[in-house]
Amino acid sequence: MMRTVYAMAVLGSLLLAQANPVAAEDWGKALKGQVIWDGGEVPKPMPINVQGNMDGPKCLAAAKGKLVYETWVVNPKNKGVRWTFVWLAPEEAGAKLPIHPDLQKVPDKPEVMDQPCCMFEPHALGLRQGQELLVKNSANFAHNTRYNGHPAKNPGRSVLIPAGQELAIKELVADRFPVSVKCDLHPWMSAWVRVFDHPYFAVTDADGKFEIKNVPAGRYRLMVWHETGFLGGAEGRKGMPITIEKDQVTDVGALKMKPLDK
Amino acid sequence: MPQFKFNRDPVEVQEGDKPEQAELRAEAEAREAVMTFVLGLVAEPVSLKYLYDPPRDRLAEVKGRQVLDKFNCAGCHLVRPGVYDLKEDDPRVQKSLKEAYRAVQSSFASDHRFPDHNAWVGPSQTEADLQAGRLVAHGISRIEPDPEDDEGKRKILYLTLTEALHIPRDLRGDDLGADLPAPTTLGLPEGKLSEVLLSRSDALGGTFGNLLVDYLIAQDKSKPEAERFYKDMDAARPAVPPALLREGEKVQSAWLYQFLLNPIKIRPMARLRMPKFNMSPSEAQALVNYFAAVDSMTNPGIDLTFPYETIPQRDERYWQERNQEYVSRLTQPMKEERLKALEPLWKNELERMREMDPAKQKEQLAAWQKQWWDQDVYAVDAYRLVANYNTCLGCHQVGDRKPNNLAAQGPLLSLAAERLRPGWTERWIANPKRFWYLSNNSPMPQNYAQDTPPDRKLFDGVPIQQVRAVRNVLMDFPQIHDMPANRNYRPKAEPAGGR
Repeated sequence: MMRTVYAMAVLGSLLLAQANPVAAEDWGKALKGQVIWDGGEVPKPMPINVQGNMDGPKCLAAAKGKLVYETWVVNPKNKGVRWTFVWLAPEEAGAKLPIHPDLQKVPDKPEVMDQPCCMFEPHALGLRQGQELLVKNSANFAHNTRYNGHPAKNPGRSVLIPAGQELAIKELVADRFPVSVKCDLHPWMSAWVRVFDHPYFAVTDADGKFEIKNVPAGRYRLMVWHETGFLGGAEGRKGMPITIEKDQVTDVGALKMKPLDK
Repeated sequence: MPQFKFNRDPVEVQEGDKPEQAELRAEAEAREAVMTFVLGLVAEPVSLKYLYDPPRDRLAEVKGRQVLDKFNCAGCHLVRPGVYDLKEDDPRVQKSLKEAYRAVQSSFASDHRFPDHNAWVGPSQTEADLQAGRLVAHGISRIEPDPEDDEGKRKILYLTLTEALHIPRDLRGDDLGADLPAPTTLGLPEGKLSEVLLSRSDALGGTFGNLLVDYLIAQDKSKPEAERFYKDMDAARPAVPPALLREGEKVQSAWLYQFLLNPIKIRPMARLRMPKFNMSPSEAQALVNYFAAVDSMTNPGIDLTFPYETIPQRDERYWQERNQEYVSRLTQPMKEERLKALEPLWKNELERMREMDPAKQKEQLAAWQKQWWDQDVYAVDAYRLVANYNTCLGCHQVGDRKPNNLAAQGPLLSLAAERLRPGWTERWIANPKRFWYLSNNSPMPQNYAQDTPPDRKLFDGVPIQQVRAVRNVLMDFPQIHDMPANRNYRPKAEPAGGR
């Protein structure tokens, strides 16, 4: 009898493990840090040349004259680098991250990207696989949204969005390759989307800061990617090892980002 | 090697001759006899049953290939896709097919499907292929680092299909099979190609175009961001010589013939002009026939004809039928709105006839209105779709109206009527991506997606009706553009500022 109970218990635990193979009991409160410019003089905002485009004056008017490239948006006060993706990756390639019970469900609310003044807002955006990306055009003129990532996984499309309309993108899947978003009518417009199969990602704010909540405790890799490349160049593809403490806020401090050509 | 002797008879030595001389004379006579016999054979016509008589398309292909080789067209242009025999039962191939099907499925809702065209529906695999476990895919391949590999050592062969691939096996959970339309991309492990491919024959041509794309991108990287134009492959590809796949399906034979003899500038974005090769008229004709013949053979469902093609949009009856059908679809408020929009034009014309008796003026106005409803309303509304800054006029010059985006300008639309074939034009407007293989997305967006609610203010119709309306205008552009209501039409420029 005891043997049967034991066998059933083992079987039960095996089935449980199969149903949720990456279950973790220990969670850290949050993971935070700041991406800091380490390339010498802080780059100044570079105005976009809209000459040769008939929408140019309208774009400038909508942006109140401030149409600048967003490749490098660095806060001159604290050198924080904006629009940098930060995410957790399992220590071993191919493994899955445990997901906190509160974050299991993929949000129903779509992530919104708008283009009111010939710039994508936001310039960088993270998305859960299965979550909708809603590209709006709240401008008074048409935009063409061309998005594509890994050619075999997120081949993308090029679709015209007339004034006031929107495009719902539902098919993007998690991938290490980012999805580039562009507008052919206004060639300077550019944005980046990354899709994850877990909720542990963030995009740095105007101070270069990020915070990811309810992270699993343990040893992981922290990936940091800016549209010019990974933090640390090609080696940065492997990420940096970090240990997340249980019930603690893990602060990785300042992550110094140097442009690849510096 | 011993010298061959034709004379096999005994030599008769005449008096006064040496035996060697007699032998030489006899050999010369025998050789002449053989030569006479052989020459006699040449003059005799060979029986027809022993002569190869290729079908017309195949003959045109062979002759065209000779001209393509002579002028090295494949140096700049991609001329023919590669052929890749996939091992259908290999798990890596299966995985790649399933992933590709999942990725491409998302485009089905917005797509306008053309089931007779090989970009949408692939031909069934032959019995021999099925038995050999072989899937024959046509496409273009490139090798790139595997993004999943942290070490950056593994590579992937990306195969972008230029023709749809019909998968006989179940990919969707039923037994019907499925089609991977062009340009689906399959990823295959580069290090294990011999395990996943039975055979491989890469595409012909386009090397210079590919090198030029790399060069333009690399050159732009050294410039300040504000001056960069060729930031990625999508931006650089329209600047290089185009692929000539589906050229026969795309262009009218007469136009291509003239173009080959005397090339003109077509695409403002191109960094290179097609040189004048001084080819002879017969060589130009051979190339024209080649492109049409190849597309006719590989894509039989589209019923491509050459050297002559039918352009129904040049027939007045065609427009009358479209007009009749369109008017019956318009609601009363729509009709009133259109009449109101044209009132200033008619008023202006009547102003010129102010000397005329008022009763006759009224008669004239009624005649114009009748003609408008009987003949013109469809063409005029369709023209509004073309002369629209939200769509065509965004990138193409329409008549004398400059496009919005001068930096990424497309070909002149006034060229379309003499240059393009109606079938291709419709399919291209419906979904340009199905015809673009060398970078991720075509410079032309999908303006009338199937799943996007159409803007019915300018032209009342569902997306495919709008696609056909634009196609119809382009196929008869000079006449439609010159209609009084269109000649004076000024598309509304949108006001500045976001909402």
